[in-house]
Amino acid sequence: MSSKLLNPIAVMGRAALDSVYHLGRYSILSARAFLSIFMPPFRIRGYLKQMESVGVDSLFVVILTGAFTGGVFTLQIIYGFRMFSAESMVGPTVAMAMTRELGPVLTALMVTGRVGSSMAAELSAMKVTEQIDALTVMAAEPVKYLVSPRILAGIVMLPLLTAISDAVGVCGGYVVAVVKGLDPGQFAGRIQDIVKMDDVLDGLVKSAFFGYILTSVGCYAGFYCKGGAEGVGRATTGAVVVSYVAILVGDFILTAIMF
Amino acid sequence: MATDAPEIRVRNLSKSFGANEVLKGVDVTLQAGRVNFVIGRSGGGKSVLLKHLTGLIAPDYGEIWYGNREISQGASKGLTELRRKMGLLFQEGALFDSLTVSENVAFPVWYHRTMRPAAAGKRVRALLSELGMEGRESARVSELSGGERKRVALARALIMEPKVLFFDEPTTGLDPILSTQVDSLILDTRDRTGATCVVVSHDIAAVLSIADQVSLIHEGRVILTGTPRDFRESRIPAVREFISGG
Repeated sequence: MSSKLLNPIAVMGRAALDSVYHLGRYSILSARAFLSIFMPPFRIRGYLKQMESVGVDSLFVVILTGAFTGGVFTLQIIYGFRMFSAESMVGPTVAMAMTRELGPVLTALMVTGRVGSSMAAELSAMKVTEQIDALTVMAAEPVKYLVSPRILAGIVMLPLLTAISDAVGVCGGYVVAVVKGLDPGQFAGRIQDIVKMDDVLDGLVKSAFFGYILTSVGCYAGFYCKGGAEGVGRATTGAVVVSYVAILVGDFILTAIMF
Repeated sequence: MATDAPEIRVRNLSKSFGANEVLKGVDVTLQAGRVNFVIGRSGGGKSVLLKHLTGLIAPDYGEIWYGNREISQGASKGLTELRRKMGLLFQEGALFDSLTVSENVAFPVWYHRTMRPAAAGKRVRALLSELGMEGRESARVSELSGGERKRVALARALIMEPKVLFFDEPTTGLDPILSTQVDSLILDTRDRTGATCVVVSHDIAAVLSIADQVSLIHEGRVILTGTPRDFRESRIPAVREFISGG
């Protein structure tokens, strides 16, 4: 029988200690990286390169996700709203859902799958091939050189991607609604009355937090990776799982605070 | 020769990883401006000692002195300054995959902005040419053979004209001709720059031909420090065993 089954208290205790250890180390790394963003020297090219990787390269998948999310959401609600003759609320509901919740969360999850995992894989490969040690020995401050640009790119690009996702999602909903026989004016007419600028901005603020989470978790997993190829795989999977959970938990907390 | 390179003194250095005690009170002085070999069996703690000397890991106990500067307490401004005068040739090269050969070599001067781009480019080409890598400036790291990687890594370690140069198994994986070239380069670097060279190696031939000083690590302790002649004539069983290969 597994020793884990025989001694569950020891296993839980070890897991709790491990969690505190990782949380502490993660907090130190991410805070150092965040503060380093504001300290010279500023290597603009490195920042722009990461912004391209996080933002521009994720554009297609975010547009696709946003369009289908808006479309599916419209399909789900249009029949119900018709029963109550509330067709004019379909557009505002889709817009509200996209800007407050679906846009920020789904964009973050998609970018985590694409970018967070690749950051973890890239940095862990650098770790196991001693490239991070090489930076340290060259007095090149690996946190500032490798982690800070990625975190800044996450914080800056996620709100932009989310804004695009919000817009595309509403357009997707519009197309589906029109195909399903809703009058175009009916879909769009009340969006401006019901969806406030604060709803959009709060969603974008949430997405900046998600950008911080997914990049810092990906970098942490890579930066402290142990072992060879197996360690790289473990770091990548771990980064994605932890980021997903952290984004969903963070979403709950931020939503409770903001709305 | 007169040199401004520091002497490195290691005092009572101890390090354990869990229950595995790797270094058990290492005492050794690495001479300034000389080629110092640190040898020993695999798993004997040579690479761990090297990581301590470069500040990559902190000891459990003990001290490391560069001249009159103590570095064992971990990251500090002093250590960062010291590292700008260090070069380390990693065993596998540790080149940056995302950069070309010339970008890898120029990285330290680019990062620290110690040279203008034109001067840096000229120096990179000169170093690569010296190491037989001319014409490969634009190659990606993935296109290089093991020996080429090592030479590029050596060029990167040399570009800042370091005062202390570490070599982790510099000739492992190289053919005999290249090994001899690397040995000559170590001697040439010592003579040209006066740098303190610390070489971690198994290569007995290199030890006997180019070392100024040899230190043998055995079971976590330095059991012999002396000239290659002292090493060759030692009656210590572990030294004899190492020389004869068992």
